[in-house]
Order: sequence, then structure tokens, then C-alpha cells
Amino acid sequence: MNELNAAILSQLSGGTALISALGGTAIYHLQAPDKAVYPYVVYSWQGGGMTNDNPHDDSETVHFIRAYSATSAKEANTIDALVSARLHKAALSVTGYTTVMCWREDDYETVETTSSGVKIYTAGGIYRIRITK
Amino acid sequence: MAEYVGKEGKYTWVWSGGTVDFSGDWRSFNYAPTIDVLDATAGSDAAKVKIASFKDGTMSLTLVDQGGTALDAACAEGVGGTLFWSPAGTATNSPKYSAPALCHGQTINPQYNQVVERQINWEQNGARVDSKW
Repeated sequence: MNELNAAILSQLSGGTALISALGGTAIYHLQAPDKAVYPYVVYSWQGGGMTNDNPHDDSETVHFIRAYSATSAKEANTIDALVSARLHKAALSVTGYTTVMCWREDDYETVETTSSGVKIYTAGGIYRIRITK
Repeated sequence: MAEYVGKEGKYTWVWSGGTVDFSGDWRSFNYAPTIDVLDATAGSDAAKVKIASFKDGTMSLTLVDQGGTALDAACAEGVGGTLFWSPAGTATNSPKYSAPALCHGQTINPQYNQVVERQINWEQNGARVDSKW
């Protein structure tokens, strides 16, 4: 749903501390561009959809939003905390909908080693968003 | 006839202050008819003998709370009126039921991380009318 993705991007982009930590609006949908400079944030649709339990076209979805750092797990977690500060219990502005809730539910972290031996640290969370018309 | 789901259901409450249409907010409806049963067992009866007596019933409807006060007067405890329920919708020949009723007020049980619902309860106060659209 484009409206919801746009709302997430807008909410994250409005965080001056987050943008400062990223060194710019390094926030991407699904996947960062090739050779994107670390650190950056990626958000993607994890699941969910229409609840169909009342006539309001309610939608309840979960989104995976994570920070990537080539420096340290600490940096990834710091950026993740800034993401959480922008989204957890936020009054997300979704075009055409009223936001019922936008809450962080689960935490996630991992590290991967690239073919060139660089460790990429990831820290993020799962956010549950419920919107209604 | 054919199977159907409840989404087309229409539920209205006609009281002295007007008509409340729950169709846009309702989630579930329950009508439970009852009948008083008199014990007529006597004499040499070897098994109980029963006589059907007065018909009665209760109704309840849950809806997604919209946060306003519109229902406070219409569905206050003690308010009388007529409840109409059409579980299959309003297409021609769809069943349409109604009954005079006394409202028992609303129960509300907000939960920290759930959409808030209200439940309105009625007690039948006269004969149910079975008709159709």
C-alpha cells in the first residue's frame, strides 16, 4: 500500500536526529540502492492486511524497519532507537486513513560478513500499524 | 437461498430521539430468544409435563467505538424503543426482524493494545415481528 509506505518514509524523514545520524535521508524501501553508503535504514512490508471485521476498511499490518551499519552494532542500535522514537506510538499521517495505532512489537539484530570481509550490523524492529477509514 | 457472510447486515435502533444506524460500526450481533416454561406435572405423571408460556429475548450488539458521545443518550440504560435487525442485508425478500426493547446500556472494556469496542444490550419488551424487505 503506497499510502502507508509514504507515511512511514515521511515520519522517518521528519526526524532530525535520525537524519543527522544517517548523514542524510538514507531511508529506503525494500532494499538500499547498490553501493549505498552506510549507515542507512530500510523498511519493508512484513505481512498483514485488511481485517474485515467491521465496515471501516480497517487494515492491520506489520513492517520490518531496520538500520544497517558497517561500523558497529552499537551504531546500528543507536539508529534503530532513533527509528523507534519516530514510530513507536506515533500518530502516523496516512493519506485517506486515520491511524489507530503504530507500535513497535519485536526487536531484531544480526551481523553479516560480506565477500570482502566487511561486517554489516543490522538492528531493527517489527512495527504493527492499524489504520481505518 | 445461499450462504452469506454478515457484512451486509443492517441494525437500527429507533428511540424517541431518532434512529441510530449501527451499520457502519457494528462487529457482531446476538439475539437470544427465550420462553418461560411452566411445570404442569401433577397426579400420577411419571415424567415432567411442561407448558410453554411467555416469549422473551435479549439482544446485544458490539461495535467499534468511534470515541464520540452520540450513543450515550440513545443507548443509555432504561431507554425504550424498537430494535431492527436484518442479518442478511436489505435485498428484496431478506428477513427483517424487529422487537420493542428496553436498553440495558452499554458495556465498554478498553484494552491498552486493542481497538476499543462497545457492547449495547437490550431486553425484549414485546412480541418480535418477523417480516422481510
